[in-house]
Amino acid sequence: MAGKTFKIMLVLLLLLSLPGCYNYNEPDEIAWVLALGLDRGRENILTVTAVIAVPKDIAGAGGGEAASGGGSQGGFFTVSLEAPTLLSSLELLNAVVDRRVNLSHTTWFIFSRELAEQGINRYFAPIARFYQFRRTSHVVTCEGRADEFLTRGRPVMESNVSKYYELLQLGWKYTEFIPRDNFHTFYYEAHSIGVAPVTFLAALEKDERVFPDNSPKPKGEYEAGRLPRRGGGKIELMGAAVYKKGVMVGTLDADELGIRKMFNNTFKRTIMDVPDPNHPGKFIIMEVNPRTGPDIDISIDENGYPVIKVHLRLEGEVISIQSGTHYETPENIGIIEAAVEKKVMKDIAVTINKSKELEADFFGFGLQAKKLFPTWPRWEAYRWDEKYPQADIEVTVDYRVRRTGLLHEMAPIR
Amino acid sequence: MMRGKPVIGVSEATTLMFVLLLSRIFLAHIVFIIDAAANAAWMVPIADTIMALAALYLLVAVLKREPGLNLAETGERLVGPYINTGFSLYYLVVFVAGAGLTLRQLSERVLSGFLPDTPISLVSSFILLGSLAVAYLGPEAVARTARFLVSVIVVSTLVLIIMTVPLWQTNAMYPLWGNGLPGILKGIVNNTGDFVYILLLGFIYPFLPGDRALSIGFWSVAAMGASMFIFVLVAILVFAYPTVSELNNPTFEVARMVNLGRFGQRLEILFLPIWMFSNLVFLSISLYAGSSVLATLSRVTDNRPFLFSAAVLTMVVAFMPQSEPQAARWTHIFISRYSFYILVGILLALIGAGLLKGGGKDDGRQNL
Repeated sequence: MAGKTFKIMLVLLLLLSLPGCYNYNEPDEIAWVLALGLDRGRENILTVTAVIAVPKDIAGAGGGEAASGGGSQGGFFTVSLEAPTLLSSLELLNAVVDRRVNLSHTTWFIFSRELAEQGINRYFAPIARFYQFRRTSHVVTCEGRADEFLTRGRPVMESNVSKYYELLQLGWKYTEFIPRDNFHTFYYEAHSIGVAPVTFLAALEKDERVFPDNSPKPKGEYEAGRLPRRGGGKIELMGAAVYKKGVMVGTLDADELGIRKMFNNTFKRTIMDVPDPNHPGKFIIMEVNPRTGPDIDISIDENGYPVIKVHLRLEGEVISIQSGTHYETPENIGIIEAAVEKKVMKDIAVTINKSKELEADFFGFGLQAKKLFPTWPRWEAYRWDEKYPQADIEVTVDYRVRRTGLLHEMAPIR
Repeated sequence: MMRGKPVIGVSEATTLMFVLLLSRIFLAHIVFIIDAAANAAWMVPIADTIMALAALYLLVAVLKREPGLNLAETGERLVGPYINTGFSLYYLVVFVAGAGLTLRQLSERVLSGFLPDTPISLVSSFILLGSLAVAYLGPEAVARTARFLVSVIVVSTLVLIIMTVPLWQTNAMYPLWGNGLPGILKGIVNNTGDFVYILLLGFIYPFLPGDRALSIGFWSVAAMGASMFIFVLVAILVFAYPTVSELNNPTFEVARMVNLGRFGQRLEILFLPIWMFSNLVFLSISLYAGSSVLATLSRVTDNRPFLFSAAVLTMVVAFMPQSEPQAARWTHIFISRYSFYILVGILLALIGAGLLKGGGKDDGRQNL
């Protein structure tokens, strides 16, 4: 009997361990940090800005209701601290935030352009090592200061600022101008030979005019901070910042980023304004999708420089023909296809030139070139980054019109 | 103990061996393979599996000489009590040191990943207490637990692997030969100890049905080899070299990487049962085997009185390393790097002794 009682007591004792009381934390006693911004410090090395969720505002707003007012700035508040390192600032946060700060839901890491141009290598380490961070979070480079960006970057349609950040970056699936890259890809590419990493490029809406006149400009020339607009959310996410050895060396506009996505097989869809070959000043508006992944063939010429041949297969749909010309007929459809190919080839030439000017292989051709080398020592000895600017890159584009929308032809306007 | 009577079924024994071998994958171990062979590390488990199968054949050949006896008892018949004491101490060190270092790494991972404010002594104690309770129930209970859990482990693992497919970067396989042939050979030679726990077969042998030991060993080693190959390959495909070589626990990090839209995130919860179950089974069976060795050394037929001493030894070993990296390094050096060769040496010595001594109970000359 005594033995039985002992066993029952032992089982009950073991049950006590299940809830893990030592680490018990009520969710409403935690301050969830949704984004972290890093700027060059004003009173210390860094200014670290944390976006902290205010759950009662998020819950009170109801599903889909936009964030508004309240005691905070609409579902969140920001705290900026001057600190020598990222993680020391997070401990300091507990001096001004009543709840225990937790980083497991951090979605964005924002680096100001000023800091990015000085180099951000040293800030990777805690993000990769500290258990609360996740490699699935995203790295953003913002024009101007990150503290201002985060404080003013309030959602318009969402009550949850974390959802706002996530939905913004999910635009990579249906636009050409948002990269798919997350912290993991950035970190991996930053540590690899043969590829230059990129981050999202973001900016706050500018009050002043971006362009002085209304001359035609392809929308692909825009990038964050250079997007002519009025209204909407304050944050613009468009284009990418290119890094080399942890230092930001340049930016990619929408079209350039689209070409990068086509080459590294993360491209999904874009809408392209193609100049009408028979009607100057008018556009054919096309949807462009990948037909298959790119064929990339890399070899080394007799001088030891890379020869890169890329064949892109694209397809798409006619969305609009401003001139009203019957390009939809089988005998004319080739005109549209050729026009799209010409436009894409032009963008490709510009983008390749930029990558060579920056001496940064942001297409990741080097990752394919690795296949030519049997071992790491041989691959490292080749010094891809030095050879890439002299690479001979040949690209061919094959675009097919698959559909013509809801119309098979347009009657002229009389 | 009931010896000579089959009390562990073939499937239970196979899964027990498989889970025991598999548990090593879920700690820092993979990192050492990748360190040596870089992105060609996936070749290492293939070669080590072949070597393990050869050692398995030697082990079964020794065991067949004396059906109904475990490896330590067979050793005593073949080489006498004095030399066999040395061999038995080796078995004890493999089980107890392996369990202790695993307990330390497991506890440290629990702290750094999930329960940072909990004292490590509490975490270790509860893990060890649970393992001890299962070990006390005997090898049959552990084997049935392993048989039951293997489906959970295999299904969770497959689900995890399938969910990482969108993250795979095929170019991570190149340069195909990684750090070159010397690196691959170094990886193969330094990690043979991943399979040293085939030794367990020597201690559950008396409970196995008929002459199925070789078959049980073969399937468990083959399944372990395949699992290790898959886990190493998936870690390389997801993280790519050199990033993958930085990670403390690549398998766990792979689980943390799964991100299927806004709602398919934080799926390391799937990894937890695989991780905990396999390591608890590992600790339970290690405690059982360690206590069996102690019982044989003390010429006592019941292993249970020695379970507590094996647990105390395990806890002592667990807290000998000053840190988690040291525990991982010691595991690599003492278990992964050297232990397999010592085992092969012992098995060859036993076979040699058997040949010199002549036939055993089961016609040893034919078996050897």
